[in-house]
Amino acid sequence: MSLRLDFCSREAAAFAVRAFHYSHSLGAGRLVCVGAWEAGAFVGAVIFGRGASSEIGSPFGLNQSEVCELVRVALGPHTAPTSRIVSVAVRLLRRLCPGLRLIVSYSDPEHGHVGTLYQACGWLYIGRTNSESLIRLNGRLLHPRTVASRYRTRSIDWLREHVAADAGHVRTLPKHRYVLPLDAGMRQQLAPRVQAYPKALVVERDRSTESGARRPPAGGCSLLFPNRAGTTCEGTLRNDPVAPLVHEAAHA
Amino acid sequence: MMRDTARSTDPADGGASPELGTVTAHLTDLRPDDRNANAGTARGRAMVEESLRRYGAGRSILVDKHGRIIAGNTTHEAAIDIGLTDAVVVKTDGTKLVVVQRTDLDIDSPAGRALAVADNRTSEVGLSWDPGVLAELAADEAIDLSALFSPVEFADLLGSDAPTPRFQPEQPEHRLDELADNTMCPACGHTWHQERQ
Repeated sequence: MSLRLDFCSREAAAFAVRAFHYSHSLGAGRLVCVGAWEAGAFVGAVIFGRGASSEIGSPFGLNQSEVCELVRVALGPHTAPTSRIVSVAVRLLRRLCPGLRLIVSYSDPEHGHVGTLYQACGWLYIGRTNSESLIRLNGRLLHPRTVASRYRTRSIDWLREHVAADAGHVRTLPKHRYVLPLDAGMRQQLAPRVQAYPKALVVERDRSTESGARRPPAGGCSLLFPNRAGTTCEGTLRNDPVAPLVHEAAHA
Repeated sequence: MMRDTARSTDPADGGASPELGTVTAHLTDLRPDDRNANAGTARGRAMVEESLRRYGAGRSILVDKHGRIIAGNTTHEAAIDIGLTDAVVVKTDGTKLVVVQRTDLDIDSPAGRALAVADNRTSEVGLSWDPGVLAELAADEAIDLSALFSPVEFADLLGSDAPTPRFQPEQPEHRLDELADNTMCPACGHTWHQERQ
């Protein structure tokens, strides 16, 4: 089936996210949206943005115009491998924005994700983020900033009294952080931070905590987050966005 | 069975017109829509019942030429449940607006104002889209719902069952390797000029 990738409207991306992505939300700010068509039919979008924080580049010594985030991969039923779609989308992004040096993305263990897609695409794994404290309201988890902007307070007591009886803090698992360097210098700079890919693991809801946070099963996190002595795919990577295809082929 | 009882287009003078035939019917003669995209809500249904009890019947319901209900399934059901039996049916081909005039009500009376709010509020609270039925209707190319739901609204309601529009490639609005020269506050319009890094 013929696959075509090209830039698409924000409306098309919003549709894809609402229809196909578990978050059902696109986020604000500047976005570059790449649509995917198979046999002429729209099947979804790969969406890049500036990310939630203006400091996204700081840990890498980059300014905001040199780094972006892959914020959503929202695809409905399709036949082409997702890793191929993402890789071509990255090429289009790079052609449009030659000043970019790095793409960052996150994988959320709260949803059982370890970043299999990024692993298939040959992105570099650089460990976990800090865990976040979110606020549960009416069964939904919201960022404290969203709550403060909506209700002008983050006070759990106030929220319990005025908004939802279930209001409470929920500590989330740290997210997996993947990066794709877009030039040799960036790749070299990141090399010391690269870790072995985490492996997929079934996590279960911890009913012993009020937050209901997920925990890995007995045996701890060693399987989920192996140290650098574990298996790694770094050796198959290249210095440009074509590399994911090479990497993918190596594992086919 | 609907029975012709009178012909009147002007409620003020009782004048006759062949276009608008007024008949009466038993409420039980009208049949609910078996593909109603509004599943309704218990609270909305209770509000309709309460409104009918307190203020009497307000806006009309709509039926097709066979007496099947197009709009007003909840009202019809609630009316039967509170013991109403008959309906005044105005036969029309859609070229004229059908106006229901309540001769016992003044809008500026407490009951008139409350009924005005109840009419809107019962619709609001009583709306709960049935995703299965709506998806089925949305997938039917002969039924054009495009003026009623944007693609994103359909996706919000139906998820991956939403009909996928024929989106075409478009030039991107932004680049991510450029910083905006200025940023405008959406609330007050103040603009910050930003130095390029």
